[in-house]
Amino acid sequence: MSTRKKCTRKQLLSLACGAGLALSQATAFAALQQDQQARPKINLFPTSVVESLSQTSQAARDMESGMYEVVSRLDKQNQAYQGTNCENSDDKGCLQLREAIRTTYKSMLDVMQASIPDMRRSLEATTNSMGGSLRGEIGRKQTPGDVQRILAGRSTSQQVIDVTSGGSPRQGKLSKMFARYYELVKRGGKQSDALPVLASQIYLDSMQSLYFLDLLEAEIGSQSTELVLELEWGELTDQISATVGDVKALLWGETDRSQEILEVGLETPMQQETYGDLLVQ
Amino acid sequence: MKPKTSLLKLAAPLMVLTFLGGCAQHTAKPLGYCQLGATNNVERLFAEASEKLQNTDCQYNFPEYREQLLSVAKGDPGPQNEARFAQLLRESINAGTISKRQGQELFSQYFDPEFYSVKSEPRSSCTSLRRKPELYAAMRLELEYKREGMLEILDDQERFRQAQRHYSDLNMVFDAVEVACTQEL
Repeated sequence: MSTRKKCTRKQLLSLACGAGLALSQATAFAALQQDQQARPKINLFPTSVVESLSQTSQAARDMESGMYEVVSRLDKQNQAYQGTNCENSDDKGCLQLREAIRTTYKSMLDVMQASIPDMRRSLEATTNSMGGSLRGEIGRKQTPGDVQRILAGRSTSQQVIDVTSGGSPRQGKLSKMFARYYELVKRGGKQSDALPVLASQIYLDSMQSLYFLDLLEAEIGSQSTELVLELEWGELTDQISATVGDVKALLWGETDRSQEILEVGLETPMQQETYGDLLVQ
Repeated sequence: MKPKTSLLKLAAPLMVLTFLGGCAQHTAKPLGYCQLGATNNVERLFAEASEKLQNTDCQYNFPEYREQLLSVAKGDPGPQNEARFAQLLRESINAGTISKRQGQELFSQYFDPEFYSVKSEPRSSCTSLRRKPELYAAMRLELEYKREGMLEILDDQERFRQAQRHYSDLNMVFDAVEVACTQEL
């Protein structure tokens, strides 16, 4: 036990030394870069933002993996229900199947409800830190013209991330989106010109996700009550099927919106030096 | 006293003649002289506009010339039109017909993928974005000019795509910054 502790301490110490060395080198490099480039530097992604992004990605992954099993069970039950023409039937088997679907649906709502607080906490942290960064670094320090200049000076290399690498095939949309954001932020130093767009996208997406999370929570609350109040042997409502469809689309939908961020603002404009006198710099 | 009166009598008609002569010289140009010919030949029309703008009487026609040149250039789109407009604007700036700022504004609005309306905002983003609807309206209008300039006059699709990308990137960043700035209030 004590040997293990010593090992851990040693590891921590070496990690700290390594980090310190890297930090000092990074500072020196940054100072050099500052001399070379007159353009004002902005730091949109301080450590707090990167950490909260990583946490959000993890929270989303946890929520998705928790739901995967229950949703696929629900899917199978739904298929059986429709395949056996159980709709409007009073057959005993059909009644049992209806009850089973209702129970699974209730579990799905429970899993979602349980995951929401963690998800909200990390999303709020991301929103707050990203918002603070945007406000401080762009809102107060830069004019709209400065922002345009930064975007126009972006590098030529298109940032391409292999969609199939990173993450298991079961990984859902939400976690994939935040995981990709996290990756892009980590690699961001090479493409500082596109960072304002990336930061804005993360901020707006986080805010929107928070908004949907609130809606989802309210909906879960009302549906749970309905499920409890509803007659045990009643017909399955269309709402259940629709909600399951929405949840599946949200978590594992085929149209992956997170890929769009790679297309946003990563190209280089041509320099028109010939007309420099007629262009405002 | 007398000689003075006779001198005055002689000088008065001379002065009137000189004045009338001056007027006659000034109005020697025929009516409609400042108007550009009705040709669709872009090269010729630019040359004509350039020549007429050297004449102080015609400098007030600059807005009409601009419209006519833009319209005729659309009939013969190509990259060479950018140089033609640039030359005309430089000449107009040098002749004092338009200010350098006006020249830059015109050229940027039509041919620069970046937005002049954004560049001309002197205040911080938080302050500027309090008037975001006005800024967006100006950007939207400028994008129309760019479509005209880059697609219809230069036939440069890539440059217009660049302007569009700028437009959407700026919109996204401004939206986010505006929300972030108001969140603090």
